[in-house]
Amino acid sequence: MKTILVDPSRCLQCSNCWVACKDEHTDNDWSPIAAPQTDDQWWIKIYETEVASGAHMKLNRVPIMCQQCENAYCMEACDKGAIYRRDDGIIIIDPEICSGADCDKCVSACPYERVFFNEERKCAQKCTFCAHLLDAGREAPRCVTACPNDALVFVDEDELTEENMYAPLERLYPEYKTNPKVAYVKLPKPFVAGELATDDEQDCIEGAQVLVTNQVTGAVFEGYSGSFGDFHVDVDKPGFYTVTFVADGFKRKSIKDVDLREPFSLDVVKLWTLVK
Amino acid sequence: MSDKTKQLKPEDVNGVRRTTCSTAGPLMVSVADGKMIRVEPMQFDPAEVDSWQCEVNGKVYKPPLTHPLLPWGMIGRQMAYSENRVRYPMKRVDWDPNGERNTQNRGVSGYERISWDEAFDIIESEMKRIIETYGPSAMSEFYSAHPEWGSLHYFFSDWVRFWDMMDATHIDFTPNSWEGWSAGATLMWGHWPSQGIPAAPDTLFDVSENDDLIVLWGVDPMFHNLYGGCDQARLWRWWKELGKEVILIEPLYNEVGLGFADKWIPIYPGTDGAMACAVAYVWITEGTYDQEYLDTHCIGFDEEHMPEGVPAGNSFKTYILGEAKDQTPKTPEWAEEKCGVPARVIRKLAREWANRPTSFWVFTGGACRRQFGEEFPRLAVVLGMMRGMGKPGSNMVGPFLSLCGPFDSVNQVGPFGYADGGMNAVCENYSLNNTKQHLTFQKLYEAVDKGKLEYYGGDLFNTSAEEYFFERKYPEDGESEVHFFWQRGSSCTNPPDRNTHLKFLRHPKIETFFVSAPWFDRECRMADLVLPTTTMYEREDITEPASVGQYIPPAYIGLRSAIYHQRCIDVVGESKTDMDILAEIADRFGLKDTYLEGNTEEGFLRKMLATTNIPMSFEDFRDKGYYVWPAPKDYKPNKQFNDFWRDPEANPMPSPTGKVEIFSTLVWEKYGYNDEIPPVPHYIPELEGHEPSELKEKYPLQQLLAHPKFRFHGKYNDCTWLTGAYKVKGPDGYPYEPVLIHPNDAAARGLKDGDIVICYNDRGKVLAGVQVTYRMKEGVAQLTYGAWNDPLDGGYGPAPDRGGDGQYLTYGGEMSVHHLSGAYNSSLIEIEKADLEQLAKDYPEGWAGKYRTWNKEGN
Repeated sequence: MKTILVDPSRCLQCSNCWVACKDEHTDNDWSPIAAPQTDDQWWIKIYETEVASGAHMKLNRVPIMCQQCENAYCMEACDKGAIYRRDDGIIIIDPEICSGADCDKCVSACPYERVFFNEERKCAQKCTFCAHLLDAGREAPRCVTACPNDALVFVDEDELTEENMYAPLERLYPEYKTNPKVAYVKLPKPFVAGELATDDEQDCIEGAQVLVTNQVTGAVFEGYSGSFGDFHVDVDKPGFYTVTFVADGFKRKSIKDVDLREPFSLDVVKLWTLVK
Repeated sequence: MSDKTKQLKPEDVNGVRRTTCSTAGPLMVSVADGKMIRVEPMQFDPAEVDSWQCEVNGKVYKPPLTHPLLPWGMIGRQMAYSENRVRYPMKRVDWDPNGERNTQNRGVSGYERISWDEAFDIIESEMKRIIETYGPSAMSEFYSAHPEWGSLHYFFSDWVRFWDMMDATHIDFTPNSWEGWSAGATLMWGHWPSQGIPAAPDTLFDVSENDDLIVLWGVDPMFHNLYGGCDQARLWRWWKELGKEVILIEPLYNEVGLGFADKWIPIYPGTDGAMACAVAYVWITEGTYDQEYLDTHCIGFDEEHMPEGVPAGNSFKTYILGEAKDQTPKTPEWAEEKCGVPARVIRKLAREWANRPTSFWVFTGGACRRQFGEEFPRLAVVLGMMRGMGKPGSNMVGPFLSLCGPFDSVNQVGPFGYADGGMNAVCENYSLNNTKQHLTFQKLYEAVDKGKLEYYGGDLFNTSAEEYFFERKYPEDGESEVHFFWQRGSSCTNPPDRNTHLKFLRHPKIETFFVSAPWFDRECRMADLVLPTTTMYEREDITEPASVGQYIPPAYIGLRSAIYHQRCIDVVGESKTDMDILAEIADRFGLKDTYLEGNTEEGFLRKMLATTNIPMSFEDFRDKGYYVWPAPKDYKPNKQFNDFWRDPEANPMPSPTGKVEIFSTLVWEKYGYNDEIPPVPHYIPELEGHEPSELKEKYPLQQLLAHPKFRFHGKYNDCTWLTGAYKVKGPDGYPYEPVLIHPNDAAARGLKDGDIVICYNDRGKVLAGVQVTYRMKEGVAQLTYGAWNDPLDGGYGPAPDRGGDGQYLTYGGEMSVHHLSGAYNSSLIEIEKADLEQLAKDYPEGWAGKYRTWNKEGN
């Protein structure tokens, strides 16, 4: 069975995914797979969040569409039986059974906020993985075909093995316990960033080791400063960390209690030359 | 579960496939029952593609089979059927060609539908009246530089042919995408087809194989963005996988920077020259530059290589080391004070650049569209020369239509680009224009209001650096002032200082103003007669994706193809092609045969295909819709400046001395030593810029007028599929244009994300929605151009433009003594919170939308 693999680190917010979705589903009636989408519905949306500060800020862009959950709260919420799972695992809201709906339980049940209520038709709607196109012999949903940077790829679920992946497989908000079919890699992580300079600020310190240690679990994350002394180290979970800088010819420096519950920039960090 | 009998049939889902090409790239269009049901990127069948590839360290790059589109690529269904289409000819209700013209009401009064017969009668009688009263030179014509994609249906084809035949006055563009390169770099290495920007053939391989560092200086190669850009995404990713380091120098952390840069160096707009000088200083003082190359390929770098007769102390090196008139060494510390980049970063940049083969991305960009905008491009040329431009890994590239993969224009003759003439390339004869008068679009109001203008040349049709010195006057001897103005396309290239442009459009001397356009936007709202034209979905053509032709040499990194624009849908409303409209008028002047030479659309296209060596019959090509060239055989790459690097004597530059003139002999002969354009490039502080001034105290923010990411210049501002992503919804529900500012600038003004503000200076006021972001350098505000106008008082008084068009605020004056304009990025503004309730009270009619661009009724 196929699914979409999303790599937010590749997303350029170029608009092609959601415009393709709009193009496919606005004013086109693909019943019984999907009724026409209205202007205010974004079956795929890119959530933008700006984190950290200064020149080390980062703009996180996470494309989110229906996650095709194994444990689909929308299906559970619907008491009309309008929401069903196809053999290929794609969840469909039947536009006819749902039409004239006097409830929007599935809309509020979706923790990803990707089910929409169509006020004109009185029905709930969402991404269908373009099932009507797959049924007609096409290879991938429109958003995937349109993506210029492979931030969205249509893959066989069986191929999402450790040896095939270039980064660990993740799911969006696993804490919701939805067991989604849509897969992610490189979801935004907390990080610490900044740049290293000599104490007189005359030079950048390149190649310094940056060790970032979780003060509770002891987990250590490592990085190196680049040409201009810049460093950016991702950690696996929010928390408080100690950041230690080690560079040849410089005094070792540790900055404690760095609050990485959100990504954080230390800005310019100065290291002092070792006295010989 | 649904009834199985109601399942969709594949043919209903797929429809009939058509092909066309847009400004965003080539498309496949699905059609059913005469309507478009789907617009997709062109997808080539892998079985029919013999692709080129580039291999480095065992990793391979191949151009994508599915063409990556720019953001407006797939909006065709919303736009072709948009409410804002011009569906039939319309006349402004209070414009009476036989009575009161009420030119002052342009932009105010509404429109009434008329028939094509009535429209043609008006056009004919107006043109004849103008010709009889003033002569043909009183007719002037202009066009949107950014119309629908085409070749036969393009202004270089249907439009220039018609108006040259009619002896009209041509309104010139200046090369305003790369103004400072055109005005400045031409003085050093000559003109080139792209006016100051040399072609960059085979740079894709050079960068991939030889470069370790990529410096992006003031450019965003993906979203700059013209005709291509997103097709670079996978290439950038591949370069990153190969370990190349990417550095971005810009006031805005741009999209390529966010996606791929290892280091963002924020810089104040207009101070790039100071930093460039400091980089040169480091190289000179540390001896890390190619002295031998400068000795043999350039003049004017040092005192030992100056033209004869020039007094000592005028070389570039002398200026940089502080031994010239200003006695100021251009140290990194000196530059830091000007540009806001720490000296250690400048020094490190210079050292990294000197130590590793570096690709320098610098052509065009905002750094060249400002006061003294000649200087930074000239300084960038010097940096390129100091690195031995042309040797492996030493290249200079631009953000668009510059980087180039393998391109064999000798053995693979395609339809090439839109500037190649369309119908003119296949017609037997061309009627040269007997009116020698031109007029620059940069000075329309001044020229028309004063009735005369004297200026120096510098326009899109220049063929040499010297043309910038040509004296021009308006009107020319024996020719008339213009009284008739027809614009092809509704959104002209966004002239600076919008209020002044509005005064031109309303001027009583402009007795007649026509616009022919697919959409009722921008200048349509000012026209006396609006004529509906087709989109590329409604007509046939033959084009090559992203190929401009002639004035921008081949630069393509995709699978090179040719596209047949199949007619996807019937014409919307009563729209016609520009060619058909002009042919009808030609007919009324007895010139139809001169204009068309008996050809039809199909006849022209057959002849255009015959100029190519595409191995397909016309019928097969038309039916299939595209042709993909195989990878060039026996291809011999000839990298940018490679010949010049090897043998400068045998391969001279098109400059007076054949060398790259770091000391410009042209400047020296024309201006001697002039502070605004010295013979060797200098850093010159802008009068309206970052450095302290009285004006800066009043308007402390520098406006950044970068290209809009989700508009094609002034187009598609009404596409909700796109506006939903970027406009800022006000408390009144209105979609405001975003203004990006730094958190410190927001805090200093008590502003927060989502606030609606007035951005203003002495030239105008606009409303905008605040987006607070660290992507901006402190002290800089990005308010871009192309938003549709919605002036609350119709553009007569002090009220703001609710639409948020940044061009209300931009500086429309000279670049320097050398060039008449193009300095619109040198604009200072202030921002404060808007009182929307008060504005609604003060301007009730405007608030209700009376003067909106898209209000055809004018009520």
